[in-house]
Amino acid sequence: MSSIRVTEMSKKFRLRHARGESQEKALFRRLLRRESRDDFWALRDVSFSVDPGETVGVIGPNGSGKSTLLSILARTMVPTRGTVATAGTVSSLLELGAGFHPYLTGRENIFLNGSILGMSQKTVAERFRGIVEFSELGEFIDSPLRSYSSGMAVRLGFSVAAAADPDILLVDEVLAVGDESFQKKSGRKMREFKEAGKTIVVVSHDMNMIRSFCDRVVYLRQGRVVFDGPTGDAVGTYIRDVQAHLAQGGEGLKVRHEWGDRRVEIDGVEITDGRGRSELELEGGGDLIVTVAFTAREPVKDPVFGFAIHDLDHTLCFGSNTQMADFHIPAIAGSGKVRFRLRSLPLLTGRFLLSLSIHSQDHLTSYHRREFYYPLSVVAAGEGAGIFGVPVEWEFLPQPEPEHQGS
Amino acid sequence: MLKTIRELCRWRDLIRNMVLRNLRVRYKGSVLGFLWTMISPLFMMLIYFLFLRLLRIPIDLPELLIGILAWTFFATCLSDAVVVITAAPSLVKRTPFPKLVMPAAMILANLINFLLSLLVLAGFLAVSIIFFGYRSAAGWSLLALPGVIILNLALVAGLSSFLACLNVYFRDTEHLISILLLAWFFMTPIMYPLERALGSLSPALFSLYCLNPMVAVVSLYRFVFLGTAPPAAAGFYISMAVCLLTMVLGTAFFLRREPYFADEL
Repeated sequence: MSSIRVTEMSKKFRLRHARGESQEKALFRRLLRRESRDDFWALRDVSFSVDPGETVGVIGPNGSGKSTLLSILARTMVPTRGTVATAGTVSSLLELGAGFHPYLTGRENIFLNGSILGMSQKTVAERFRGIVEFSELGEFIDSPLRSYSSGMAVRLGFSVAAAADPDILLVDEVLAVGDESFQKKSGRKMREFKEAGKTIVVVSHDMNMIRSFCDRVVYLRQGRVVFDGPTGDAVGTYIRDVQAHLAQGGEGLKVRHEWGDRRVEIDGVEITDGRGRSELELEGGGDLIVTVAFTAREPVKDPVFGFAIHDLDHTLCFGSNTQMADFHIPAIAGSGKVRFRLRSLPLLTGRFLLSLSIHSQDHLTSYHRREFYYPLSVVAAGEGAGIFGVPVEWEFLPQPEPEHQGS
Repeated sequence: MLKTIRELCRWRDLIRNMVLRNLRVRYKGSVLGFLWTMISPLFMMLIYFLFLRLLRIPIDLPELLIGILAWTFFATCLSDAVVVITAAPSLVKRTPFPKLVMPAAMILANLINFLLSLLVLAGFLAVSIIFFGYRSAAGWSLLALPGVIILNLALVAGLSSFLACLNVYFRDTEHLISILLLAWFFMTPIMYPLERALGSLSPALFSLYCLNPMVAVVSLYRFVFLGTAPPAAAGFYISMAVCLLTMVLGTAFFLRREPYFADEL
């Protein structure tokens, strides 16, 4: 018997306002229950099942229906057609710290959040010590939440969710929360769940995480299951699709992924080589200059600008940010530009993806993040194979004369 | 109906915690805290009383206070209800508890405030009777209080779930409700005794007026605490039916639309 069985499930969304439709028209249409031409199917005829104890990853480009699928599995949405059957208690790590209130203390919030996740008062009380211990909040537990850093609040949220101890766990990219040491800790916790035989469904864009964590992968594209099978094959198919898209000029790049609260928005980006030429192909070993034009909708303190270069397998080649570089920007407001220059980029011939990010100092608020967004093409004259190349000097050291054994 | 009640009982710990949150949050940081529940109706009563005196509208102070307390409970619930779902999109979209818990917890929190304010009323009545020779015919009528509260709750629950749900689909509800409440306020005998409405409206209009279930609710509270005549039987039964019907229809509407809340937020 499977833990989760999804059978020919489809989900249709009715858009509030179709494109070019006036508010009044939309209201009348909705009153008359007429279909809009812009209604769209987020999921179409999705079928798959998950066995008890299996860890299944759900991957796919933005807008492929992954989050909708999780919402339906979590039963906060109902499918338009088809059925979803789950065996056992379901808990979701979809929303960490659901219902947290800044005026309440950590303790009060634990009980509130725990009961939202379906734990009884008694259960929360029994697991309370464990939750506080895991969150590493110590005596802060009796201070109001608003005195917490955002990292502390996230830690608390994860700790409560982890204490829920469900049969089926739904996870939506929340493993990347908190600082690095807490990320490790939450990752360990997830592995514990896996080893304890929980059924886990995880949505992620992080192919390395999917590879190392999932037994099987369901690959969604435009609301349909295009692949369901072993992790390696699914990730391989996905990456090949990404490459195919890139080969078609990089436009319509489907792995492109952006998010953030848009308090600061990336308006435009100019990518040039060291001589200021906007070349399609960069020269390996040459400089890369990236100018990011941004607009801050409200004054933002201590923003951090960052970038990353990935290869098409989504392996991080290099990344840095203003914080790592100790380049402090006290505050921004309105429009502005930030420029960075990578000197003598040692990349070998190949295609790469540039990601840009503007986020808060504690990395918890993304203002605007564009991941795998800008294709870079590098042509290097240098020899060697791999991702990067540096000048190599070979030397032949003459063999020393064999020493005679002392007599 | 029974299934709904059983479901809410299953989630009683969540309701309890949400009620606690509402109460804690409301008074956090204010010096007088909980006392405000008691102080503000008294001040409102005095202000209304002074203006009504100026306008030469005669009303008894305890009658006025009862009207204000009952109305405050009703109006607070309705204006809280309209945003109770829309203000928490992440809870609705990401956590799978029955969403009827949200209006239920909100109403219970307001009910606790209302019950506390009834203590103020009791104190006020005691002072009026002992020191100012006020005569109250209340006695056995006090026993009717739980019944009246249940009737009141039925009305509030039905309207709250209806409004909470409606605002998910039509955000204008949020703005319309304050206007509606203002009109409703004047259509309910709060600043004036019921007899005045009886005196100035034609019999046909008066029976229409009595269709407003709040007329019965306020009159019943006055009956409970002051022993004034309860509303005429016919009007009373109609109001009772309206209250119960509101509850059934309002919650049914809410439960029917609940699965689609996440699609709309």
